[in-house]
Amino acid sequence: MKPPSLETVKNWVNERTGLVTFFSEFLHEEIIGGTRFSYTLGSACMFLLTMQIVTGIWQLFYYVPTIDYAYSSLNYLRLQVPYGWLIHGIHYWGGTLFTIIVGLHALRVFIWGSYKKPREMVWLIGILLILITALFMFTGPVLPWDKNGYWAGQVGIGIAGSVPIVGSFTQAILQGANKMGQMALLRMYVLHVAILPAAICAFVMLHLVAFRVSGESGPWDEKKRKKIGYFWPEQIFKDVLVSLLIFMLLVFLSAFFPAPFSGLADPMDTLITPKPAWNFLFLYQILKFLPGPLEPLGTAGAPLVIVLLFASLPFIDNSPEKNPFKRGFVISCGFAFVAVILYLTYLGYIYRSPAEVSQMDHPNQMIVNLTHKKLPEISLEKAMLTVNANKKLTGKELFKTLGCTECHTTTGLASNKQGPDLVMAKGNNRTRNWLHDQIIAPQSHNPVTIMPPFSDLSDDNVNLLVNYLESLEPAAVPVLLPPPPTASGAVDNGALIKYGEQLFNAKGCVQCHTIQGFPSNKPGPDLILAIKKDMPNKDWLKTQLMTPQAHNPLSIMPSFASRLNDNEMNAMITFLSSLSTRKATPLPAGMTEAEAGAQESSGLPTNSSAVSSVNIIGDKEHGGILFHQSCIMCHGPHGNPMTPGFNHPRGVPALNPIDRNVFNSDPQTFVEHIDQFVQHGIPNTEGGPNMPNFGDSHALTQAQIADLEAYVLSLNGVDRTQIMNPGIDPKEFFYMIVGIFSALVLIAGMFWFLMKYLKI
Amino acid sequence: MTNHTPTPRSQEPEDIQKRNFIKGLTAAVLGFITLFLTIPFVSYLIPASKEGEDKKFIKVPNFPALAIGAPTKLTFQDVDVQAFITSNIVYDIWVIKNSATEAIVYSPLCPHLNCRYTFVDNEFKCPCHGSVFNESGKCIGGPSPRALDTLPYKIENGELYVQWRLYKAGTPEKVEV
Repeated sequence: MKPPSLETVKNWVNERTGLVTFFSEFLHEEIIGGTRFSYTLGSACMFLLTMQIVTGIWQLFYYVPTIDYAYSSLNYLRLQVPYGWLIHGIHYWGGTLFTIIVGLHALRVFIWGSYKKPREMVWLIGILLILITALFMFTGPVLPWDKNGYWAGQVGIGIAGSVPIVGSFTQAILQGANKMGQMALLRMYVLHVAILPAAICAFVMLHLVAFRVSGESGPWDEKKRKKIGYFWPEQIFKDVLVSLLIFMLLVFLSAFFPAPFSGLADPMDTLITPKPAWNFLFLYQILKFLPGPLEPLGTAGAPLVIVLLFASLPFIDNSPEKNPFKRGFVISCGFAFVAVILYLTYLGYIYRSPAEVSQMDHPNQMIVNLTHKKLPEISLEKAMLTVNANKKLTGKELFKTLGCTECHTTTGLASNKQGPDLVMAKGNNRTRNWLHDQIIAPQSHNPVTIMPPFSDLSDDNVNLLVNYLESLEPAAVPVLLPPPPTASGAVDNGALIKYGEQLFNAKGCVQCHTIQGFPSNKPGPDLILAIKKDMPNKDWLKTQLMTPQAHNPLSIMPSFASRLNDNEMNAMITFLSSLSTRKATPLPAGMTEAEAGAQESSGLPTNSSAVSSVNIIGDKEHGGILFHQSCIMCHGPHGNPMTPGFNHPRGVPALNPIDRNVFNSDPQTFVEHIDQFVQHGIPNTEGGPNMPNFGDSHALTQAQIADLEAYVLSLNGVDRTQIMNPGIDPKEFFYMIVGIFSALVLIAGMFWFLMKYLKI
Repeated sequence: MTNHTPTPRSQEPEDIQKRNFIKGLTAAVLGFITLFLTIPFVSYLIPASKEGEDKKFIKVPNFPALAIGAPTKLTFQDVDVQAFITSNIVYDIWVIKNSATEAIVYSPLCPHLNCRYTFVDNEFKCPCHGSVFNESGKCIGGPSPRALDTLPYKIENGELYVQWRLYKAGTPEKVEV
């Protein structure tokens, strides 16, 4: 039997499906006025949509839509899976390009007047497609569950929720729970990967069918309309060329401008100004102009007006005239609209909340220096003054921005910070001069203090700080009743011990010591443990209280010589001696001493979630800001305690460069090394301040610790966001594409030359 | 779908040649894009190779208390890391303790099609397709192509340590997968 020819097969299939007829109809479109590059925008959207669908589906092979794993699964995809960087990058930049090209496409249709009769439905379906695109751009960025996406989603859902009447219902449907969390993530996910793709595909079909019913509208100039072009192959060739450019642009952006790693979503974070994705910045900016009761005008009014205006355009501008130069009013309105949107987007983009400005100015300055890996030539204080040159700071603001709050509280309550509470310290009745000296040269009062000298502060600023310290209300002095002295001199020991314990609590001893019988994370030893171990006599205790440095020259304990009178000293010593027989506080059931010590300050259970900082890729810039807030006082700016203006507390290791035993060029191993210290803290064996247990005490969230760790890694030249398994290195991949494309152009040019001039 | 009749296209040889040239170029560009997407998209799906990873011996609890000579099912736990998720995984094995320092350790999977067999009437019997093995692992009935698979083990200080391995089902040779 003779095999059927290709033609026979084609006919057989066509008789039964009509596919061949359909495609030849589809391809053999005539284009009035000839083919043009300006007509390629629609097919560029099609190309991008196809890329989005394919890369979107491909990402689902690794992405997990849960709040514990979304961020780490995406990072695994981006860093560990071959070409994950490319597939994620194309999707990430594809969305952005899609928004821009859809906008240009609409703009071209607007200028050409192509929305006019009989093409109104094409225009209306197009508006619907823009709305679907907006929903894509709203739901997509939430899926990584990183800081940017979390806050963009939070703000977006909040805006939806503030719409009158339907708002709270919409918010409930979008959020799926009473706050942003797992349910919200899942809903964004289902919208983004199931409902919206189905909707966009259906409406794109309708858009195309409606378009082909009337054909394209062609040039407005009658003379130009005489020329006829063809969709296949001439227009398709131009479309494909534009798609190729877009493809190369996508690869370029993915290779050279990867999406940021903004760290795991952290609702506790106050450093971020919640902002929507860039596409919605104009709307966000409108809201800022409409305070309080007018807000619904922005949330519901503005989008509604914009959509209605667009939808009614073909019916308002209903003259058959298409020439843009004869439609001056409509065209100028359109351009004014585009200009306003762009300007609002720009305003939204540069906006920083006042809180963010005050928190970030100073660290930003430092981070600029950090990225260049050089120590500042100016001191911290001068850098701060430069940044704040135009700002008049009060003493209270100085107190915060200089980082005093890292070691001191002003609550009047004992804290677990390294320095004394400054309201409690009012009891010491320091003079202005003493405070002045303490700020600029603390070592003049106590040679071994760990407080850094703020010697670069101007006199004015020191005075502002002193004023502030003096303005603090002294804590209500606890009413302490000393045991009545008996005439016989016999002392009621029990009453004396009780009095001593009251003094212990009132004089600030609890800031550094515990009385619980197991170790704590405070700077000083637990006194039940210490006294049971060493059994010091009363003279030793007295010396320790009067001149602690007599026993240990490196001790950071302050002298209590001037803070306790003889009676009080006696009561204190009696109380301390009595600790040798005191029983330890029972440990909570099922907990080891170390765990109890770790828990001591928070009373919350230690982190047991699947989310642990070692598995989170943090944001190093954000980490830099946190470092400035929490670490700089001991580790110095840049993790280098040798910076001028910072003394080096005993036993505090440099982080830049870090100990070679801790260092590892593998980011994961390196992080695991330092994570131990940040999570659980370490006692300082040299008498300096202890490393606090930031994780166990919940002083920092796991997301924040991840950011900090990313920063410390970056100080040592290790990048957690380096691609471990790229397939081909992103930049090389791009160069390769450019190279092969150039070769292709060369070969095509050669053929063209041969055909045209040599008639081969 | 357009409303007017199509204008016939020019059939001049030069125009046809030009059209074909453009068609060829279009196909080349599309092929170029497809090529540079296909390689990454396929590589992306190939799982990371676990080769070169050290197989570790994992301690099996309850071995010291085991009766000599009686086939017993023991379980032990390991940590399984797959991509970004670390989870605990429990393995089971059949152990015949010969002495305090010697034992036979069988994979719990029947070499025929990897069903889990049981020990009944002094024989290992697979419920799926009726393979039967004696205590020394030899196949004495049913479709299994080979004897039961033994797993590498070591005994230190009376404690049993086992390496978990998987073998290809249905082949006469024992081939690790």
